[in-house]
Amino acid sequence: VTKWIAASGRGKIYTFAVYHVAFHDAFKNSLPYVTAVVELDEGSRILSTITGCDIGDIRCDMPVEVIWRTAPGGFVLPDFTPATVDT
Amino acid sequence: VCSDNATSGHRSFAAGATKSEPPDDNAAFGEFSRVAHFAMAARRGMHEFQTGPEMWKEIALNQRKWANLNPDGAFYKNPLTDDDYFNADWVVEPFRLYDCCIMSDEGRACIVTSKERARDLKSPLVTIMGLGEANSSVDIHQSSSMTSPISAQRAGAMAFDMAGITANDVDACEICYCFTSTVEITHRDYGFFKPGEGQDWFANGRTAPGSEIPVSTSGGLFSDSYCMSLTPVTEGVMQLRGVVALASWGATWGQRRRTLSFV
Repeated sequence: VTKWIAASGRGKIYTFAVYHVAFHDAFKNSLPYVTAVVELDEGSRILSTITGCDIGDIRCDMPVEVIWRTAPGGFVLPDFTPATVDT
Repeated sequence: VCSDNATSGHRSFAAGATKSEPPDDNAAFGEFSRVAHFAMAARRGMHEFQTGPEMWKEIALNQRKWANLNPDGAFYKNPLTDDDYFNADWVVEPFRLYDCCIMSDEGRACIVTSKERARDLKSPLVTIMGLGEANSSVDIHQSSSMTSPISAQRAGAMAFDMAGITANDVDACEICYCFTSTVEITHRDYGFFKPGEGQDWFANGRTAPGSEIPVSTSGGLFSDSYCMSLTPVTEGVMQLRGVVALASWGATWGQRRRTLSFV
């Protein structure tokens, strides 16, 4: 069953990977960067990226919150950053 | 039959890391390649079971030790050290270069027939005692747990049940995998050890030549060749027949001619 919900934008990092090689030119200037599976407080999981902290500080189960980023081309993407308040 | 020209040609599931076209919407966040999917599962395993590079290094080094004995393999007489492992580049962290299988150009084949017909042939009979098959979702992002038992647990249980044995009866393993962490979880889910016990199980060269339980005796998919599951299956058959080139393999375990585990 699929349904729309209004999510809080808060969750925690289920797992993550760190890229030291750009597999696409668009990410050459972003290295190193992180992709993560974020588990939202509402239970769903979403593939995203973690920004706004040192990569070495990222841990599984770390509380995070959404920050909206406008990517080239005008797409608005949900990135995540360490939570300012524990969720 | 399996033939592959991944080195000189193209492999579809490696395309995410070798072609410039984004494979799906997740590429907007910079996610590319199957390596990344398995790297994320491995990272979660590090968090839940305290596994990680120290254990994976053991797996990579032990398989290379087998490969060093295999004149037909990619890394004959070409050893791998602790420093080689830890100084290698990241592919997608937490995987370094030697956590990943190689690519190769080659073909392998295996003929399956009835026992009656096989007994009339020149080569010694190698019997399939049990079979099992199970498949889990390939969309790892949406799996409810990246660290829960993989389909190897169900497939393994089917095969062991059919053969009338348990993991304790197995003398050697020729398995199919893609990364060091999948060697770990495959053995775990076959029942060789419990979640969290992998560090001890793989320690002290347990799967290396001359060891308690040989694993991937040709060097496997890290250090012999990547011919999908035909790399382990053909190696296992040749070991059980005693036709592999080196007497040292036979002395190690081939002459025991007992039970072998394929994945």
